[in-house]
Amino acid sequence: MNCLTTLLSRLGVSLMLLSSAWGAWANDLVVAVTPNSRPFSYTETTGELTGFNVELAQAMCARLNRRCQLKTLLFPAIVPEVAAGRVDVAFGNMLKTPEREKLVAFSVPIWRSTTSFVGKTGQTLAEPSQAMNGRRLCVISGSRQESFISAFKPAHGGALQAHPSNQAVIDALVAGACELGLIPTMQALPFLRSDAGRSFGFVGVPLAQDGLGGSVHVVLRPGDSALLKGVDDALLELIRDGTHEKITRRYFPFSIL
Amino acid sequence: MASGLWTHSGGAQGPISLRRWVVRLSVAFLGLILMAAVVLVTVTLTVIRLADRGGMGAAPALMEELRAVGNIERLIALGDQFEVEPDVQRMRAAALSMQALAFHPSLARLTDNQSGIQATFGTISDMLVLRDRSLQVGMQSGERLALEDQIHALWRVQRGVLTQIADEAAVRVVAANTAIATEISQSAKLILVATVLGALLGLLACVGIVLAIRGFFVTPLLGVSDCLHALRRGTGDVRELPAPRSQEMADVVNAIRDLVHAQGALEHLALHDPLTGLGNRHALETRLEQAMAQARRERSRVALMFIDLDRFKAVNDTLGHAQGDELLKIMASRLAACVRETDTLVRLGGDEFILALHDVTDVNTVAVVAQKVVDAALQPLQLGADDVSSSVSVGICLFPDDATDSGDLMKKADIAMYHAKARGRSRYQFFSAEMDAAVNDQLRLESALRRAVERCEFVLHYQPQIDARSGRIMGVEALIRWQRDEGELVPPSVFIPAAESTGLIVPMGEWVLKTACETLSEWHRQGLGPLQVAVNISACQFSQPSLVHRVADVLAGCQLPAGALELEVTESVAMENPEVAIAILRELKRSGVTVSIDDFGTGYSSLAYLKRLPIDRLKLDRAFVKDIETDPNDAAICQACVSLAHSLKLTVVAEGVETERQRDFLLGLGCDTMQGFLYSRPLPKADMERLLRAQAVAPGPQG
Repeated sequence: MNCLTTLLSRLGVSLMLLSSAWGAWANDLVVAVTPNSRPFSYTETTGELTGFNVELAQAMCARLNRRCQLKTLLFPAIVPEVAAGRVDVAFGNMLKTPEREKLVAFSVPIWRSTTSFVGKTGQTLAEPSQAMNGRRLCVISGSRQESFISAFKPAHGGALQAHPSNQAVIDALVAGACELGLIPTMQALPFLRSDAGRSFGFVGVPLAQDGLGGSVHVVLRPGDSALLKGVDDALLELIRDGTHEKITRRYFPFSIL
Repeated sequence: MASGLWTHSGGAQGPISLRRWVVRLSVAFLGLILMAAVVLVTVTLTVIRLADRGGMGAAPALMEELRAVGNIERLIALGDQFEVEPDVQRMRAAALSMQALAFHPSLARLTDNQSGIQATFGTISDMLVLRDRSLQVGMQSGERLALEDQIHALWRVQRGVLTQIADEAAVRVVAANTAIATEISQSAKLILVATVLGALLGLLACVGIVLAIRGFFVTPLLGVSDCLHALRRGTGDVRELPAPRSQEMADVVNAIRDLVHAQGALEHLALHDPLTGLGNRHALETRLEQAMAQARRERSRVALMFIDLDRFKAVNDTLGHAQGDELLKIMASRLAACVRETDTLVRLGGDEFILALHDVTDVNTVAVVAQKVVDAALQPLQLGADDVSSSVSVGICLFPDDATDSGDLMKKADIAMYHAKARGRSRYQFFSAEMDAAVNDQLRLESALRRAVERCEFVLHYQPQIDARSGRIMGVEALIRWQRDEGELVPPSVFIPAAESTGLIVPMGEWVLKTACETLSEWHRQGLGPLQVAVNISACQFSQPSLVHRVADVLAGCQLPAGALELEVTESVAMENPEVAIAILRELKRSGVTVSIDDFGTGYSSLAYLKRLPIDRLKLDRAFVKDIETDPNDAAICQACVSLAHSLKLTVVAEGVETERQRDFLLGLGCDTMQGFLYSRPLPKADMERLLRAQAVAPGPQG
């Protein structure tokens, strides 16, 4: 019996050694997140990258038994970089659209969202088509929101402004560079709840139509089905075992999936 | 065959055909296997489906619903917080969270009442407006309370809607899960029942098949095997063959039955005498070995009786073979009636039967049985129209006293039987060691005699026959002598019976005839004649149909006239079968040969026959001549014989004349010819020649 136990423990040890050796040998996973996208990915005052996406990425890498090599990419750069293969996986709060699916692979959903107009309280907006009617509207460059709202013509001195990141849109709102922002509701909410957003609120009801609402995915290097399967399995396992929910609770007042 | 096939089974519906059933069962099993495959596939698919529903497959949907319910509850909790939160910033945060949540897709699929949830967005907006107003500086407490009441009222309504939606969703989740669990448990039970039923059915099918194989195949096969074993041991009966329940087994059983019958018939044929139905020689060998083995084990005896019908040949010759067979059958049944079931009675062939008494503990019982056999044979019987008297002679030999193997037993019983016959027939005789010695002497004599015939160890002596009136030698009687290698001269009384019993008498008789004629021919050429030579003819020779021709051939070969030869036939030979004898003798006489009756007066001649016998001469036996002077009876017989012969126109030769007084007396009776020591003993050829030559030169009567 003792002999067997010894044998088994030795076997276990050697297996562990083997697996760690495999991990060291395997390539690091290059994971991109967007900068300044509180609370999804942002830099702490200590200089540490954190946020919902960062923690989820790290949990995923741990499950994949690979080391995450985190880097930040502005939202418009994400799809080109991933499509070029310079980045393996990107947590860019990316909605699934047919155009993007031609370039990159999409994982299972990691959270869901709607899109909201954000602006000073007291404003009203009956229809999205009137958003640029005498008002300047800020969007994230390359986002689904930008392509949605581009269908409408600005009128009465209204204009459409594209900004490189979520934070840039919010900064523009706070600075008064634009009266309305069209951003994902879940990215708007932390701003609105903060001191800076004290005089701001949702303008009109959140939008879910025309691809503005729905699931947000991780995008992956195209053509690597093994990587896609590994990432999908890891994410589903994280959802299943409650890790996803645990991380969610740290950043949001409710389940966002 | 086929029509008789079902007679043994007896049942009205008859045995089934295994051949047909094998096809049917194969089809049935194919069907069952297909069914089993369908059931197995169905069960497998069901299990897989259930596993998916209850397992990982169901987890995401379930979690989504739980998350949705949780989010509504948070919506309510946030609303409650909003209602009472004194801190403005936190109140706003709660309100904004609620607005974000109200449209969040996680709630989208939870309920049909989507608008009911989304209405929260507007409600919160209204509540925010009211709260902002109530928080305005300078607002009177009454107005603020009214505003707060409106807020409470708004929330109460929306809260009610949300609570209902949450409860309904929770119930639906539980119901859905319960449904799944119920379906899983019911399906599991169904699968269990199906599995158990299937296993039971399979078990039943197996038991059925085993029982069928046992009933239709194994049991009959074992029955057949047992019966065959029993048959091989000799204790079995074909009727013990099992009643078959299938056509094929019926074929087998019937074939076995037929084979056993056929084999039985063959064995019976091989071991039985077809005429009498008794056992034959082969049966005897087997039974005798068994009997001896049993006797050895139980220290008892076996008595072997050699039973021979007396004078069977005569019956066969006179009444024909059919009647002879009939006699054998009757004897067989009479003998069979004398013995126990356990004894062995066989017919060896011809008129010989063997009776073996098994397990003999008392030798006296053997004698009793033997006497019964002798008495049974003596019972009068009728064959066709003829009354036939029959008898048997029985020789008995005992195992292990007299012999210890079957061959020896048979031989010694045979010897004893011959002794019984020699002692006068119709009696039984136990074997004794002396018989064996006598037989051995006899056998030695016979083999020596056979050699003697081959090597021609015989010589002829001649005794003169004297004409009573002239005193001259009329003729000679040729008498055979056996000159053995050692020079010993064996008298005829010793070797003639042996020659007769072995049949050697025939070649010997031929030799005598030929040699005597040659000698006479030689003497005639030397001028020693006229002379007649007398030759004795044995019973065997006499019964040979070629006798007349042989005699003619020999006479022709020696250039002798027929009148130079005299053939002597004993009275008993002539009278054994007088009609036949008369015919033969007539033939001989017609050829010119002189015929005489030898040893006249010793037999029981019928005078009626004597009168008809075509003979020339009577030879008066030496027994009467011997005491002719002292015994008046003998004298009277001689006188009567001479008178009889003369009145039948026959001449008389007196044998054994030894004294002058005998000669004178016979002369007085009128006897024609004398023969005896008074004149001359039988002489070798050379001596006889000298005697004849002396007579030729000195005419006149001899001393």
